[in-house]
Order: sequence, then C-alpha cells, then structure tokens
Amino acid sequence: MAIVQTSPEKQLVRRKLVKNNRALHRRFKRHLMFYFMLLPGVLYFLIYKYVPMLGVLIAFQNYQPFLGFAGSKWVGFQHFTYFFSEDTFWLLFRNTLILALYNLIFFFPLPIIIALLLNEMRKEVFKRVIQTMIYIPHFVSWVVVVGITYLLFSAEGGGVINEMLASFGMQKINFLLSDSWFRSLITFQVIWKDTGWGTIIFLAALAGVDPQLYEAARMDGAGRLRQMVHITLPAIRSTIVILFILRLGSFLDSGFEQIFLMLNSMNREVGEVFDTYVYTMGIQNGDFSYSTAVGLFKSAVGLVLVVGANFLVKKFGEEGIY
Amino acid sequence: MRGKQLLKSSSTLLGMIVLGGTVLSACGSAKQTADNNNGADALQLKVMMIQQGPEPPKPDNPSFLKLEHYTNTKLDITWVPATTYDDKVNATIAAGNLPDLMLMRNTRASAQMNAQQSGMFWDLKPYLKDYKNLSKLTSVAIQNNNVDGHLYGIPRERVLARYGLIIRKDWLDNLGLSMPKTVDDIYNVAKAFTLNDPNKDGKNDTFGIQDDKSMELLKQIALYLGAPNGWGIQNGKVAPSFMYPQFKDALALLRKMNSEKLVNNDFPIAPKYDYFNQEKAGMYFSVIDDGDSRHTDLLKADPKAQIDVQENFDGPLGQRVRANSGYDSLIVIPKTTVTSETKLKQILGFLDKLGDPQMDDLFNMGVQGSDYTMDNGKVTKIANAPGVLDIVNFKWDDQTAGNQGDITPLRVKIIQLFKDNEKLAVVDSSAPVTSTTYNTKGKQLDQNITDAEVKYILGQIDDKGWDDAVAKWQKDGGDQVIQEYTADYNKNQAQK
Repeated sequence: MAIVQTSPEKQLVRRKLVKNNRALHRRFKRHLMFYFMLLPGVLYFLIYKYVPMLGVLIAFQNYQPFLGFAGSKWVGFQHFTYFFSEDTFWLLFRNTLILALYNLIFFFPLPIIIALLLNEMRKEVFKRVIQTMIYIPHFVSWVVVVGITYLLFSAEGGGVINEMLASFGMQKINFLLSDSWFRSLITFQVIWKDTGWGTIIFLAALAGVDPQLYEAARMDGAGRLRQMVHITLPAIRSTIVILFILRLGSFLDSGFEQIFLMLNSMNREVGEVFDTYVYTMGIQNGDFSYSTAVGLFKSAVGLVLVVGANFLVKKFGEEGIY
Repeated sequence: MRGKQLLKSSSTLLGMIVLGGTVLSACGSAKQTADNNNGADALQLKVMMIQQGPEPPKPDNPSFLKLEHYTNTKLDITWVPATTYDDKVNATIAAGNLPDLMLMRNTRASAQMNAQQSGMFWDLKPYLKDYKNLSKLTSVAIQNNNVDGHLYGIPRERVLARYGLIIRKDWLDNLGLSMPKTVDDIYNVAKAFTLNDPNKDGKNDTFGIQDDKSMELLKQIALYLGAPNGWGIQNGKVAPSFMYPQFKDALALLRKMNSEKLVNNDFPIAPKYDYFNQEKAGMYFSVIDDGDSRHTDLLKADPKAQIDVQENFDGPLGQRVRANSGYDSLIVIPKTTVTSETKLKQILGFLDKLGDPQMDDLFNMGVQGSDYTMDNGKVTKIANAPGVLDIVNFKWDDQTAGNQGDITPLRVKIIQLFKDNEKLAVVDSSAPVTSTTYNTKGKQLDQNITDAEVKYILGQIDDKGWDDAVAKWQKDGGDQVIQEYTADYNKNQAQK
C-alpha cells in the first residue's frame, strides 16, 4: 500500500481551511445571542415563504384536491404550452405590459419630483404638513378608492366630474364603462394613492446629503437649480436606481384588487391582466394547476427583469441591489 | 458608502410596510359556538355556512339555541359572508381542509363540479329513502343535481316559478296604466315611466327599468319572446339561448330601450335595487320575493309607495315563467372528514329533523315568546326581536311549508303566484347534464358571451360583432360543450 503523500501546498490549504473554520466557529460562539435572535425571522421565511413555494410544483401536475399533491398526475409543461398557444396570452401580455409602462412612465418619477420639491421648501412646518397630507391616501384601501372613483366619475349616478362637464355644456363621458379611459383611470388612482408614500424613501435619502456640499456650491455661485442638478440628484441617484430595479421585479404585478374592482364587460378587452386571469381560472374556475402555471410564468418574467436590470446597472458603474 | 446606508434605512421602512400589511390582512370569517343544555351525547358538527346579513347570528340567538336543542346537536359554525362565499368554498376544496357539513352554491361551476366528480363527497342517493323528510325531496331538485347518476348533497328546495317583474303600482295608477301583460306592454310602460313623470313631482327624474350586471331583464324578455331559459333543446341538441333567433330579438329590443334611456345605461356597474329604492326606476326583473323583502326602507321613507309583482306575460309560446333549477345550493358531506357510515347516518338524521314541521315554523317565524306572540292562532311579530337571521340558511325543504306567520298581503300574493305558476315554469335544460369542456373553460366562455351582450346592448358592437362573438364562442369550445351536453342528455333520456 502506498502512503499518500500530501504536498506542502495542499497542507497549507488545509491548515488555512481549519483556521478559517475555527475562526468561523469562534465568531459563531461569540455572537450566539444574535443568531438566536435571528432564528424567528429565519423560521418565518422558511415556513411562510419557502415551504409554500414548493406548491408551484402543481403547475406541472393535473392537481385534483381530492387526490392530493401525491396522488395527482404529472403532466410536465402541458399547461404552459397550452397557455402560450392561447389568444388570451397575447391579450394579457399586452394589457399587463402597457399598464406597467404607464406606471413606470407616469408614476415612478412623481415621488422623486415631489420629494425634490419638498426638499426645497423653506418652512419646516409647512413641509411636514404637506408630507403628512399626501401620505394619507396610502392607508385607504383599494375598495374605498374604487368606491370614490365611482362616485366621482359615474355618468348616470350623478358623478361630480360628469355633472361639471355637463354644466360647462360639454358631453358627459362614460369613464367607467369605456375602454379608452381605463388605463388612465388606473394610473391616476395609483398616483393619487401612492405618490406621497413613495416620497418617504427619497426624502430619507435627501436628508443624508452633506450640507457642506451645498455651502461650497453656494460659495461658487451656484443657484438653487444648479444645486439640485449637481448635488441633490447625484446624491440620491443610487437610491433611485435601486428602487427602479426593485420596481422592475414587480413589473407585471398590476395590483389585483384595484383592477378586479374596476373591470366590467366594457373594458375587459384592455383591463384583463395576468393577476385577474389567475384569479378567474384558479379560484373561480377551480383550474388550480393551470392558474399556478400562469402565475409562475409571471414570477419568472419578474425574476429575469430584476437580474437583467441589476446586471446592466452594474455595467454602468452603479451599485445594484446585490 | 452612502448608497448602502441609505438602502439600510429604506429597507427598515420597507420592512415596516410589509409587517403592516401582514397585520392588516385579517381573517374574514367569524366562528360561532354556543353553550347549550345539550348533553354529551349531542352530535358535534363543524359547519361552513353562508352569511347574508351584515353580521353573523349571535351564539345566544334563541332560534339557534332551539335548533340545536331540537336536533340534539352542538354546531360549530363558520359563517362566511356571501360576497366571498364561493371563493372561500373553492379555496377550502383546494386546501382539502373541509368541515363536516358545507353549503355549496355554484354546484354546476367547474371547481365544485370537479370536486363532486372526483368523489370528494358522499353520494346520498342510496340513503334518502330511509329518512322521513329527506325521502320527500322533489324529483326536480334531485334530477337537476344529477352528476353521472349520483347525488352528492342535499339540495335546498326552491319554488320553481320564482322570476318575474317587480313594479311601482302607484306609478302605474298615477299614469292611468294597467299592469303590463306582454313584452310590448313592458316597453310602453317603461317609456311612460321615463317620459310622463310617474311620480308627479314635475321633474324629469325617473326612468323605466333598472338593470344590473346579472342582466335579468335580458334573460326574461328573451324567455317571453320564446328563447329557452339558459339552455334549451333545439333540433335534438342542447343549445344555449343566445343561438336562438328570439334571443337576438330580445337583444335588439334592449339595445333600443337603452338608446332611448328607458334602462339605466350604467347597468354593468350598477348595484341591484339601488335605483328602485331611490325612486328613480319604476320596474326591475328578479325573483319576485325581492318585491317583499328588499324595499322596507323605501316603504318607510315614502308611505305612498306601493309595490306589486307580475309573473304572467303572454308571448308566442304562451305564458312562460323563468324558473330556477328547483333548488338553491347543495349541503354536502365531505368523505375526507366524515369517514364512517355511522357518522354519515347521524348527520343525515340531523338534516332530516330540519325538515320537521316544528323546524319549518322556526325558520319562518323564529321562537315563540322572543320573536312572535301567538293569540288564537294569529301570529304577531315582536318589534326588535332577535330574528331567525342567517340560521334560515339551514332550511332545505319546501319554502312554503309551515305556518308563514305575520306576513304582508304582497307576500301572500307572491306565495300564491309560486303555486299557481309552477306549471308555467321553464327550467334550464343544461341543469341535469355535465360537460368536461364546460368544466375547464366554462367561466371564460360565459364571460366572453356576457361581454358581447353588454357591448351589443350599449351599441358598442353591431350585428356582425355579435355574430363574430357567437362564432368565436363556438370555436373556443362552445361546439364541444353542445356536443357533450347533448350526449349526456341523450344518455339521461335513454335511462328514463
């Protein structure tokens, strides 16, 4: 039998490993309490987030509740191929994409602009009051927001907007039963509800800008606008980028409740999105496997978008989210 | 780096938001158990039941206690609000975590049909004959719940001839009009209600017919003109009503009425009853018992208001009344929770007792002493009594059975109409048949047709658009549904 000779390099590597291992062990021991405190959080995510994720496997089955997960038949990618071959797929894809783009173009920049405006305010009290006022709509549930929209925009039930139009001698517009107004209404609701809330993070970022920079700029004769362009914006750039990437992850989430409540026969053509379709097929139609497949597809697209955007951002020298 | 720090503070905020969301998403159903004087031998049952009132019945509700006492049971009821009931049933089925007894409303819809066909519930057909009341279930209710020759629950019986017109009698009188008797009359009265100021307030603030997204108006007009109720038999095939020429006539009439503003144009989003209760509309189509039960506030606010109902309209095929399927919902007993036949028989015994005359009176009037007083056989309601509330949802036998108690003259008329018109009732021919294609695609197919109906009525699409929608329906699976329904129909006919 040959004696296994270990080369000096290998020994070195091993010693290093052992040392590392020992260091890790020591660190673990020293921070034992912290790890203990971490435990509930980890358990929460394991039990409520990771374990249920196994449920996506039913997308590859013909899931029958009575037969259960183990007893149901495996069908591979059947549900996916069926979904991609349907006309509905392109309808959903188009509607979801357009709504997401509306959201990105009209909603995303607004909190930044509002935060910048608030930041320029001289009276602290005034700023605080406005901040609080524009947060409030965030805490109103979608059911209420849609209810208010109905009250404001209805054409026959005496909606305020239409009464106003009529009093100016203009034609009433049937906002709620029209496919051309649907996307604008949805985007408008999102803006009304969440713009104020969205400013929080940007305001936090703005608070962190070193005042000395402004002072120096003022010395050099920079006006307010110049300070904003050359100091404020670059300072919060990384925050904007990070939030942009995070938003891309939920790019295809169109807000189920909001859209579901606004949908009706007259605007379904432009309003039906992945989220509402999953609900119709899964909960109402009881086609659990199929709707899981649709949902899984949506999540996969979200993942690709986040990873892709992060890659690009890093390429351009920004920080990214990981 | 600053970016990282900022991210830290912002992620704390995000964390708070997420946490807030979790706390807010509270559970939407209420549990109910009661201490009763029932002994240890009482049958313990977990029940999932629909709650139509704003609040679930309290555990000390006299009617509830009496029901438990009479049937010697201890009920653990999960009351689920009506608006989310069907979704909750589907989710419960999917999760497999079923109670001992559950009410299922959409028994012919895919999720619940699949559950029945997969053998999730006990087939009750062989057991019915052993029970005094259950053996008297109407054949229509049993027939219309036929799933491949089985009956997977106790259907709650409903009178057949339930649909008709609810109308403001005082408006008719104000304009010197008589009760509409044909489709033409309906149109003329609607026009008069819109143009001739039926409430005599000098303002043009009323219109003819209130409709909502269930489009009951279309369903009934089509039926009076000769189309079937939902599905009919056309040349030996089971065919949907919208493929009948008479249905197209009904659509055209509705389009006309909508363009003349005799019907509210916002019907796809209008809440049912509101325009009628606000005294803006003078008619609507629904189950006629709504006429007695849905307008207490209106009658209180306007003592002059008089409500009447009408079911008998003449048409080319004679008088026809839109019927339901002779039942509403199934009370199912899941095999997964009730594993033994002994327990099954106990539960059937409980359901059987609910059909006793004592229970009929309880469901109709509540408990003597707390809900009503009896004087020489005359029943008088007690004001602000606790009431039977949603406990009435346990009633499965004949709605008109038992002492009706203290009821309005309109209610008396409605019950009489139910009895007189039973022979005129037109039942949906698709009720006793099944189709696998419909199970998987039905919801989507139905929705596409409903959308086309709405668009046609509101003038968004023309005849060609409508024909295209029907053609698309056929291509997308409708033809297959017709084929499967017809095959099943022929099989049922052969067995008869």
